[in-house]
Amino acid sequence: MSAPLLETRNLTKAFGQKTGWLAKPKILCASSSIDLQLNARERLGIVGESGSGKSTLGRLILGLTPPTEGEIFFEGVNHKARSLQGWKQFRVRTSLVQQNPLSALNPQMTIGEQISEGLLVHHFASRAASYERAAAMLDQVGLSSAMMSRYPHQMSGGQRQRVVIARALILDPKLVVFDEAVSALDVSVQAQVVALLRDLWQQRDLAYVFITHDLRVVRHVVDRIAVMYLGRVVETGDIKSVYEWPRHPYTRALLASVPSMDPTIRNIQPPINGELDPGKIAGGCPFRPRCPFAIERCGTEAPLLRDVAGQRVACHRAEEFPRSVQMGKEVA
Amino acid sequence: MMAQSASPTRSKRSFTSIFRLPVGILLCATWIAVILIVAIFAHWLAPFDYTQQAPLTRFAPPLKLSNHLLGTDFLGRDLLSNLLAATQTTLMVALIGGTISAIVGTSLGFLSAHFGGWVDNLVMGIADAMASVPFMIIALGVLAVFGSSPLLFVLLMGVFNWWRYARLARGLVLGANADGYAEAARIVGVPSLRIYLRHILPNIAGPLVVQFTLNFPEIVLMESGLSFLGVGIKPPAISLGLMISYGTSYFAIAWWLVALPGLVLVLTTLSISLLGDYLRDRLDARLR
Amino acid sequence: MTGFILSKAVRAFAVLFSTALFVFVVLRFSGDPAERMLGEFATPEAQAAFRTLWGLDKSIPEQFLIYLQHAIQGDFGKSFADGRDVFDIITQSIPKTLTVSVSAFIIAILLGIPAGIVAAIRRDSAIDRLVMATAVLGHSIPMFLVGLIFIFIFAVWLRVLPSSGSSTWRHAILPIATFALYNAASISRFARATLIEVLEQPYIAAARGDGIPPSEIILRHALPNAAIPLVTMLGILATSLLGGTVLVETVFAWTGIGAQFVRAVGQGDLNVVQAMILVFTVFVVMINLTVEILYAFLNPKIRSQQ
Repeated sequence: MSAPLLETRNLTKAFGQKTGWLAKPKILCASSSIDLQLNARERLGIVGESGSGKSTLGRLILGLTPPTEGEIFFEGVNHKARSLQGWKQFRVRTSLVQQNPLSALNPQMTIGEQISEGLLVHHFASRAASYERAAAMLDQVGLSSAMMSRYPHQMSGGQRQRVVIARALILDPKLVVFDEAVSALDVSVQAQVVALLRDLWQQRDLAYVFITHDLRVVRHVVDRIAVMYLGRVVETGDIKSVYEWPRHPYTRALLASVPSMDPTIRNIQPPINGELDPGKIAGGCPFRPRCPFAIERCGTEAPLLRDVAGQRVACHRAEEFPRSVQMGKEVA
Repeated sequence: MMAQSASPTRSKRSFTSIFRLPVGILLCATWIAVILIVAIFAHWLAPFDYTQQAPLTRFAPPLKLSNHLLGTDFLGRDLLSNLLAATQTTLMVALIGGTISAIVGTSLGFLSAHFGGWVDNLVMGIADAMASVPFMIIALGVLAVFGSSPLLFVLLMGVFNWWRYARLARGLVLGANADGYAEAARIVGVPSLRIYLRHILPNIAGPLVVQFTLNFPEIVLMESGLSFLGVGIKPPAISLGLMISYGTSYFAIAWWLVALPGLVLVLTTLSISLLGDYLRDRLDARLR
Repeated sequence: MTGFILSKAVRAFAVLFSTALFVFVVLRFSGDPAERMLGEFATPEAQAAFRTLWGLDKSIPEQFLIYLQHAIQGDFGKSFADGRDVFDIITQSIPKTLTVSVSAFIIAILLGIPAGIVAAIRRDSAIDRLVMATAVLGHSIPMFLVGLIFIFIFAVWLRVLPSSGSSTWRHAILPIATFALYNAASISRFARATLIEVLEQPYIAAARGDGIPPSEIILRHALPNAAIPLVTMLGILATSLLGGTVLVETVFAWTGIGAQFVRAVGQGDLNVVQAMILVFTVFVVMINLTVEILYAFLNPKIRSQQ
């Protein structure tokens, strides 16, 4: 197999938080030592609560914010080694779909202008030709080309999200980051956009990272999943096997909190206790304060990602948890 | 919300909405229009050369002499002609100065937001420093050291209040950057300059225009203040502040020498600031 | 708390020092002081003596140190216009300025804040309309024009007060009135806006719901919360007052630092200008320091930090 499309090595982003006049800045790790690999046409889901650093990871991958430590390779080229021209190329070959389609669209520009802008600024097509291609792209995302001259506020939320997707795909990127791309939409619209996403993926040479907190949606659109907790990946693996047999207590708790149709199997896992407090953890497992299975070792030794039956899990007790059948069947 | 009103039907709507404007605002707009016409055509409108002296008809009160509608001053100069020329000067200085500070301030605000870090600290530091010292003092100090010249004076008016635009533009750009559409453009590879001019500027123009209308009367007041103190506009040029300054010496015998330029000055600043307040309340909640 | 005040004081001192340095350097580069102070036709010996006295033959940093040394001892040189000691001019004019501006400021607060409170509580009443109209007008009329109008009414027309000068207390009435009225307008408008904003907060609605009487709500709940923005605003106003002294004192020929400054600027009396700018900076810095300390006392978040 050739080199992966995207690779991150030991990726860390720390934010300083100043607390007082003379106090040392508190370091908050939005993401810490993340190693990820993504092949061409692969679909990776990143899930976690808000504050888990999943959006920061997306921004790091796209080079929108520089990492504190670590490297990112796209098509074998290190971000740090990219020239201005290299960045331009990177921008063409990657894209982003943001969370809130209303703010992601410029209120003062028509849909057509916004979709075709990428083609124009890179001189891929003349104004007329780029408009034509934008119209074709609109058609592909299921919108009529009559929408070209509309403004964002004249559309519905689902239509706007389709426009944002069309804009992201107009340059035919190899990698797209979807950052909570459907979370702001109604459930019925979500389903439509998810179906659209699958269609588009099948027609194109496209890999994507799907960032979300919604475990119901992510299941239908990715091949592989990485679960993040306080800036760290705590479990990663094939989507099917993770849903069938989650090995990390956090993943288990997340999956258990998804509402189930069957009342007898609801909330078998103990719910997660306590709030996220990134400042508190020092040494040991970051999940320990909220983990019902924590043992003494968890307080002293931070678990590293290790192979457990084909998945990678960061938990000392990963082997001890039973298969939780209810998740694999019922969450749909 | 403001963005929502921006639509293809915009022009049509603002046309009909003229008829829904409050009477006061209509009056203000009318006065501003009159004053602008006067400023542009002062030379053709003036019945006399404003410097032309007539020792025999000094201190003529308004409406007394048929050829000097608004009377004459202490040198027998026609007050109406002087008023027209002075209005022109005052408005020109304020317009040029206001435009300079809008451009300089907005650009610095954009730079500040774009680069962040020490550039941001430097620009905002200077802005804070300028905001904390009364500009009147700064202006007097500068004019004392470098001497008063028309160019320096206009530039000074251009420096006055630049920091308001800088602070405002910086905040708006940071907000727009967080809004997503700018980031989306960046992701597609749109160059920064194009993002700022094509994407962000049209979206934040509203508050900046409102700032301009709020700032304009302040420049007029600053100009007339400095001219009144004798360090601003200098003869043979004339401005409203300078006219009032001249009139002060003859206040007891010729009230109109102060009252008429004063009235024009107050009506102008009042109209523009009322219009600015109105625009701000209507268009923009962010400035409040 | 002490640390907070100390850090602010250090910063204030740094501002003062850099202003002194900045003004000094600008003035030194804008022309030869010896020629400017003594006039073009001074003898070379006189010029040389002047240079030695002020250390003008030394390097700029050394000159600045000498200037600072003199300044700390209260020696700012002599006025180029009338040969008086600059220090004497300053010490004689500061009390005059303080008399007018401090009393005007106090009157403005005593007038403006109650007016603003009443306007906020009784919105759209006659008082509210009056407050708003005066405030808008105050933003549009130049202060010197207000002064002239007062002179016209009370000195020219009614002949009850002297129009200009600074010899008796009666001369102070018109400048104080002008200044106070002008600033009361902005204070009342700001107090009104701030109080209205506070009154719309949920905790006020909650207090109303608890049946707390309106007067109590205003005094115990609304005003303490409106105090912080008000103090900040009053600080800004106090510095702008400083700029206003220039106009008001000139209109009424009141010989405070404002009028002296204008005279010095007009006559190119750079020794006085330089010293006056420093005096103004000291005032600005002191006002800002006071505001920051007051702010710290009023804000429970900062107050509780030990």
